[in-house]
Amino acid sequence: MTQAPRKSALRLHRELTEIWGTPPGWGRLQAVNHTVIGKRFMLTALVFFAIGGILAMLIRTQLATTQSAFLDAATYAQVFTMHGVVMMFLFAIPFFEGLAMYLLPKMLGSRDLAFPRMSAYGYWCYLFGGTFLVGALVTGVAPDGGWFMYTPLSSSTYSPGVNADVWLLGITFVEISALSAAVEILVSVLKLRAPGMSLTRMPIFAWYMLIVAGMMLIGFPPLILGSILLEAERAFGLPFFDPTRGGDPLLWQHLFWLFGHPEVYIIFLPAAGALSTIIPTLARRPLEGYEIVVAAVIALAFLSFGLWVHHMYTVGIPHVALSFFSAASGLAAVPTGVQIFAWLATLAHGKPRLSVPMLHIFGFMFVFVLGGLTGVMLAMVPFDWQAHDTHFVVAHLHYVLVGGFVFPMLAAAYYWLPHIFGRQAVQHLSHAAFWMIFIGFNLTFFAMHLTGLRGMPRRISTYPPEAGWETLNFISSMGGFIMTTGFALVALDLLLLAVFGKPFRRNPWQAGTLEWAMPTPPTAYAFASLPEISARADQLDPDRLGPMLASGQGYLGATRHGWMEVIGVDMVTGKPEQVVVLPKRTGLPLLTAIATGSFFALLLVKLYWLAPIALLIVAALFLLWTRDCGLKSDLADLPVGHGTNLPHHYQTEQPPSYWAMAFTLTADATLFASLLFGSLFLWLSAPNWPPESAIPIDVTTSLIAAAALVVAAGFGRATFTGRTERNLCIVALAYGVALLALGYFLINTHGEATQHAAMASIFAVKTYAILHIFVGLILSLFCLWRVRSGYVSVRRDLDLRLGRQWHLFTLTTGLIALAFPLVINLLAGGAGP
Amino acid sequence: MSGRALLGILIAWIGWAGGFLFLYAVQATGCRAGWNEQMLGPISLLRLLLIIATAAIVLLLFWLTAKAQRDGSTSSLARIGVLANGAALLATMCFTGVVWLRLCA
Repeated sequence: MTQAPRKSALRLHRELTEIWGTPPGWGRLQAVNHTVIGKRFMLTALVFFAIGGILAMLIRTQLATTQSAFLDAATYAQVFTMHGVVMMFLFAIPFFEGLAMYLLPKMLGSRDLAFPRMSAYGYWCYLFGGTFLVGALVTGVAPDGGWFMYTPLSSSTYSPGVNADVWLLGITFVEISALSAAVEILVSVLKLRAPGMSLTRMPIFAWYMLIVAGMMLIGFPPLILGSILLEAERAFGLPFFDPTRGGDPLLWQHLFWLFGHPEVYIIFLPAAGALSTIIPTLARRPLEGYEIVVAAVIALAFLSFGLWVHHMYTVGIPHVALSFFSAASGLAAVPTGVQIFAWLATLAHGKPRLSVPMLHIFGFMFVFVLGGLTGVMLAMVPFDWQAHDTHFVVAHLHYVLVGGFVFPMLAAAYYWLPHIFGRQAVQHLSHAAFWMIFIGFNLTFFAMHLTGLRGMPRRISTYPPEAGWETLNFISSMGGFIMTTGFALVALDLLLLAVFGKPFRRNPWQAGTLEWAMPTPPTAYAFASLPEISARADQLDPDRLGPMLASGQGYLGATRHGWMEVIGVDMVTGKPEQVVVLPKRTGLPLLTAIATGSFFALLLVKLYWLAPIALLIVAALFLLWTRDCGLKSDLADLPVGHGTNLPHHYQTEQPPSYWAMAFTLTADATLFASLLFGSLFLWLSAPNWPPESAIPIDVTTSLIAAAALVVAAGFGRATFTGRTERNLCIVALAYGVALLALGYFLINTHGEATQHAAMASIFAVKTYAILHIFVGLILSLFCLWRVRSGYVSVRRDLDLRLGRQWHLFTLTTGLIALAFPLVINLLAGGAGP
Repeated sequence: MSGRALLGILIAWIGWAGGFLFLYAVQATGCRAGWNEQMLGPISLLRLLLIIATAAIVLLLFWLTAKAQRDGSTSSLARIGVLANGAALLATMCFTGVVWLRLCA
């Protein structure tokens, strides 16, 4: 199979646009292209930012004076809860996801992300989940227990309405988007780069996003698990957080902050990645200490997972445990400082341009460093005991998040909007807007430190005149309105840029990164041909590379069968190793997101018997995604230009989907480990242990299920031979047996699950195993169909290998789940108080 | 090769994270089981266990860092690995409170 001879640049452009483009009209609903999806993410996030900002203004109006009657306490609770929810879950994370989706393929010299349909599915889940949450606000049933939804306030006893359910189901729905983005980014950065771009030649932004995606993979599952457990308690009475039945409200805090603290760094690090890209360009000098910065980001990522209890210093944790978390919290300042000094050194050694992005970088430096300093104060246990739950903490978190995310993102917006729109800023309003935001922000939140130190608690809707907080609160509110006006000016400024900005030829900032080596606004296919990289990819010459790539002189400089082709490389060396053929645009991501949304909506309206049907529809739709994946015959290696031939990704050992499965299972394992941790935590810490009644153990069904899982994994390991169909039938049969055995156990014991947290934990662990066995059954039947349809051969056994990964994981977690009742029984009986 | 090289820059931090969880789990379990009240001379069983575990974690990370340096690759990725592993070793200072702080509430 040959690649067509090189064509004229214009003809190549037309052919590639036909292949990669998104049609107008209804065709837009089928969009999967990273440029389109990235822009949609960012635009939608900005709409949510505006909504969150309006909610903030309502809060500041309420608090501007004492005994304000502007909002009643119940409405105020919804408003401050939704402000936090919108800003954290619907603005910050999706905005950087969108920026990463838009930029990464372009910076890495690829044409798209590894799983474009997954990006689209993630976007629709985000849009529907966000609309779900904001819709609840409009209809007056929004969550009202704080953005962290602490139990027991959020339990059905104290929050009987649907408000808390909206949070639990809506956030879980939105987090599907975050997890799919994490897998997408990890695989794309590791596998889809330009030939020759080794890991250490990657632009620094890619390093940041690689590490952030890894953090998301580990950080989000505890939150998803916590939401599922709390919803199970509210809906079905499983008492994970109810201390009267062996549960513990602190379990929620652990699960929430296991996610919640890394979340702060998950938000900050992409912004830091943008700064590490923008500062060297504006300073006209490469980033100082590239390797040290990478090591610092790795250190920060790990440290961020050792801090979660610093939100829980006042709950009565022993001194030595507090010291672990306090020391780790203080240590986090070191790798953060390393990055800040690297940026300062780059500026000091370079010739900085005082442009609008640089103004916002100055804003970042000032605000974030102050936030970091108060962070170190709060990391110290004695100070935190004084300031806990006061407005001092509110001031600190806004200095960190606005300083660490909003200012860098404004710098990024002014820096990359010329790329998105192909126009440069006119800058009539930019300076005034910056100073209004900067002054307004500091007025608002600096004063909050003082109200906090004077003892003003968080989340109160009114305060008495004699408290002495009114003047400072009034200053905060005035500052808030100045800041809001500044943001309105930014919005107007950016609109003016998009409509009336000055067109430019290429690379207006004289940057050295690949995203400027393409036409702006970018074409759907990004690069007409892919570059070969022989230097660090932030010190390239886009002005020279751009025309060369546009004329098809790089890799894949011609079209073939209308395929959407990119090159897959070795993860470390960047050596090209496969041609990855991406799936075409389709409406399936939208339909699947609608079905997923239906599942959550059915749970919300308590139609529990219908919800599994929605889940089956979701599974069926996902199976439909595979229609245009795979090959029905073996292919010879494909020429990609420069005398290189590469195999189709279906015929390689480790194509992107292999790694996607590995990363998905990593997230899955984190969820399972969190579930086990939660159960053991209850045994250790919760009151009313051990349970009064005996813990149910069914040795017979457990042994049958264990044997069935071993058989399934054993036969599922087989490679493609003449016996593959028979093997897959045995796998499916074994899963069926395991399902029946575990289902029998659950049906017999489900009544006991509501009596005590020990039984509830066992029920949850076994349900986890059943779900995995069910998916294993579907996968084995799917593989059987693929074998019979001719998609599988000795060279094309990817489907079988993906199944093998799942079967092995299901065996491991399944055996642990089967042994779990024995362990709990032993612990509860052996070490009870 | 790829997997090992990537793991090489993360390994000490993975060890640090595992050590962190292990110490936290031992401390909580020991308090629950009353190991803090079983005295072995001047110190409690729980404190002894925590000190031994901390020393083991520090030694493990020291060995990993030294091994990474001994392997001697001069590649950029190897240098990042040495820096990251060294940082993880330094971060074990988080655990020093096991020597003198109160172990149980």
